[in-house]
Amino acid sequence: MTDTSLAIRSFSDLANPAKFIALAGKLIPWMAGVTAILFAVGLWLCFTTEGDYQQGETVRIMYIHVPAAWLSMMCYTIMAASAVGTLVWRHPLADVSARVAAPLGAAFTFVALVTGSLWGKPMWGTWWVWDARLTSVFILFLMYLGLIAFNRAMDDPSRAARVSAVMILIGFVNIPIIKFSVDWFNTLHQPASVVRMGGPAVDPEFLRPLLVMAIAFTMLFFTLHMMAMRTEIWRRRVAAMRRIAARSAARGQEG
Amino acid sequence: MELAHNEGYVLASYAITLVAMIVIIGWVLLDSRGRQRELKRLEETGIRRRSARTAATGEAATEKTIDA
Repeated sequence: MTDTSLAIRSFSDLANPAKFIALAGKLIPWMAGVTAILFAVGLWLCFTTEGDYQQGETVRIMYIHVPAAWLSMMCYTIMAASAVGTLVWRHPLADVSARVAAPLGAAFTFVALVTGSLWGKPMWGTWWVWDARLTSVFILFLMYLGLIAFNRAMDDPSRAARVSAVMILIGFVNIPIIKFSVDWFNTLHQPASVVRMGGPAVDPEFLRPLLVMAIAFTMLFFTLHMMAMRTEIWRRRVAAMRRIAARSAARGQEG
Repeated sequence: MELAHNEGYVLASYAITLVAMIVIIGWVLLDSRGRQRELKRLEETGIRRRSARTAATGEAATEKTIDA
């Protein structure tokens, strides 16, 4: 504990909350800037590229639907990795990471569901079907909401951490189900066409805006995740300081 | 006519996504500002966390931490 400098010298230094806050303070403005530039380029590509000869204008929904769906799964995977960090290393920052990722994941899953529905109506002729892909993503959305509700219901974050981590890991079984549901089951949803064996089956005209938007959404997620982690560390500091203040006040009354 | 009809779905998708993103970005920013303000106010009253006390030198390490 003699080393009080805030420089990050090794990967394990990131586990120190004070050092994490110092690093986040430096990185967040840059990450936000890169995100803004990527969205500017991505949105410009979204609306300047040609429409599909079959789908027409609705192909442009893909540029937000696919990145949102991808992030809904990546976010849960990050939460599962954090849950392992909580259970194996018992590190509080791992719990902070998992806890603040849940609302972000819920938001991206919500966007994926709504844009999918708005794409389904003109292309499939229906807003919603209870098939394997759509249902498993809907379950993912409910799991995010459940985890948020659980975390809010628990007063002590350190006690909530381990139970929450176990629940996250149990729920992780849903992620491969979502990914492979289109191959395993007969669904209305198309099979994978970007990340698949044999390379993307999407024309470069559509692939370019899709990839830029996917990177933009991913950067947005990491920027928000880092900011929310920093805020959660501050929230826990505030709670710790209030406890100290209450204890000191009680001691003052006794003496 | 069919094309104009479909453009509505595209615009609705982008609009809803925009609103959802504004909500989470706004929530993250407001939460960050709020906690920062609370922390500052608590520090101003002289309350120090144990780790902050040991890291600091001299008088901050004393047992009495609240001035008010």
